[in-house]
Amino acid sequence: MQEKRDLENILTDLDEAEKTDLLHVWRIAGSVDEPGRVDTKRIDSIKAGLIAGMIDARADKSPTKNVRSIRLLHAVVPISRFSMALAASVVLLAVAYLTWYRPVVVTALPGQYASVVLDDGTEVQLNSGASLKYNRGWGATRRVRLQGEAFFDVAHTDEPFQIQTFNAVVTVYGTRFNVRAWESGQDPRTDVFLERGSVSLKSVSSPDEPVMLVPGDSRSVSGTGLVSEKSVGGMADTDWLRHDFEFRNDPLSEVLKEVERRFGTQIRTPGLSIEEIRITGSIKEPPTAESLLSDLTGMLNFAYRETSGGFELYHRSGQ
Amino acid sequence: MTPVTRSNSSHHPLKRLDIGEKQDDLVRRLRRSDPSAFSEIFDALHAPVLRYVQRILRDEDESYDVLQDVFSKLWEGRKDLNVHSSLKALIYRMARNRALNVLRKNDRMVAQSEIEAFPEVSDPSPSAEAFFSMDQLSERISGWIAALPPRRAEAFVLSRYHDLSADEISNLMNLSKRTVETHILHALRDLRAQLNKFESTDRND
Repeated sequence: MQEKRDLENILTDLDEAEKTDLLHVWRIAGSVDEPGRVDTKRIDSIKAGLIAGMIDARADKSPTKNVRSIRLLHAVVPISRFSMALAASVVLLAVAYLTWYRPVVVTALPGQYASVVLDDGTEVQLNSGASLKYNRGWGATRRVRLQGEAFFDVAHTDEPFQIQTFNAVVTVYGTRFNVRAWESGQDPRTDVFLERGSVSLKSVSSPDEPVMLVPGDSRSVSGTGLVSEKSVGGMADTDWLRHDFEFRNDPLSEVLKEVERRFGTQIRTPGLSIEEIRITGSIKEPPTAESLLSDLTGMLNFAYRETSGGFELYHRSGQ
Repeated sequence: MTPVTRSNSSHHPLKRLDIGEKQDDLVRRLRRSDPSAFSEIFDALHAPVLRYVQRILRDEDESYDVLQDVFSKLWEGRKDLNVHSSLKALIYRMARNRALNVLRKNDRMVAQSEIEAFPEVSDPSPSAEAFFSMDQLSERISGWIAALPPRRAEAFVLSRYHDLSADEISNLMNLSKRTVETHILHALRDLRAQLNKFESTDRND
């Protein structure tokens, strides 16, 4: 059994006396009962529910049913009369090529969201400020370029699907996941959170092998190009799809930037040095920038006031 | 939150249904949407996974939800199943991730720290008991394990009671294999120290 070999490995450098002792401890420890009850009725009902769900072909739970409004905002779509252009001469063929392979850019403006369905049926939802660029008419690989944050539901085909960010390549094998890649700011990195299926993550600048993710994993490619085994600081989660606002050990400056993008406003912090501040928290569906700022400043020692362009943070005095 | 309760029977080691050898076959059948494969996997793993999640969450209700979520997602993603280490480790990993997520969701402000994996079992004060019984010892051992630093306890528990290999544990906890082995070694040493103390105070010769 693997475990025996593991135990041997662990005890291998010890002297005989200690080895015997610890083996004895190991054996005795086996008498311990794991705390916790297993309610068999509940288990049976869970199992029955799962099996019943298999019969229903549409067993999917997509986040779209929780998202209240997603609007496609701004898409540059080429004139798709390529099929006619293909008919005649080389010149026409060249024109056709250019039209067919013209890049499409989909952008979610600050304060809004966008969604798009790609040629292969892949659905992408873009968070505020993000943009997705791809060429109509896939080549050998389906490839898009992402700036910002988006959630992907990739259609299952034989060709791999690739997402390029400013410093990483995410390769996809038919699945649902979140990619977050903001290039500017204090801590530029690409975060990937995998909800289901399988993806690999690779740094553009490093020769290392791609890292495979399993559902539930979060991995990051940092500014220096390292793929970290555990996520660094904030993780790409999918709260934003439900319009929640979440941050995990993120620099305050980044969080404020996200607020700016989410609500299309401007937040200034004159005279405050906030570079060292990191915060963790989660706020459900903040309806306005103001309510979010009220929560945020409540956590810190700041206060906020409205300005002509948006908001301004300042120190609470006397504390 | 309802606290996790101990089960009634004492020495009744965790039933370990091994899916090890049949794993490749199970994965293949699962990818082909074979419900009986899913059933076998569920039967083999629901109890240990549930207990592991209960350790993390210390809440019975939520643990069942997590369990359901994990197996539901497993079925949903069956076609894309890409098992690198072991199916069991993958399921544990999904369970761990989800349980940690629940922990974070429940506390609006959660420190970026390790999970408090184990409920505190108050160490019963050594009384003048003459006999050294397995029941007592089991309880004590539980308490000693609970008193270990969280990562050490988790590595040890996963190894001893969940039959996960050091490789699988390292994958699950995001640690190197070396670190996992060290944790287990230290756990054994700590337990031995406690055991020695227990045996010497117990013998009131």
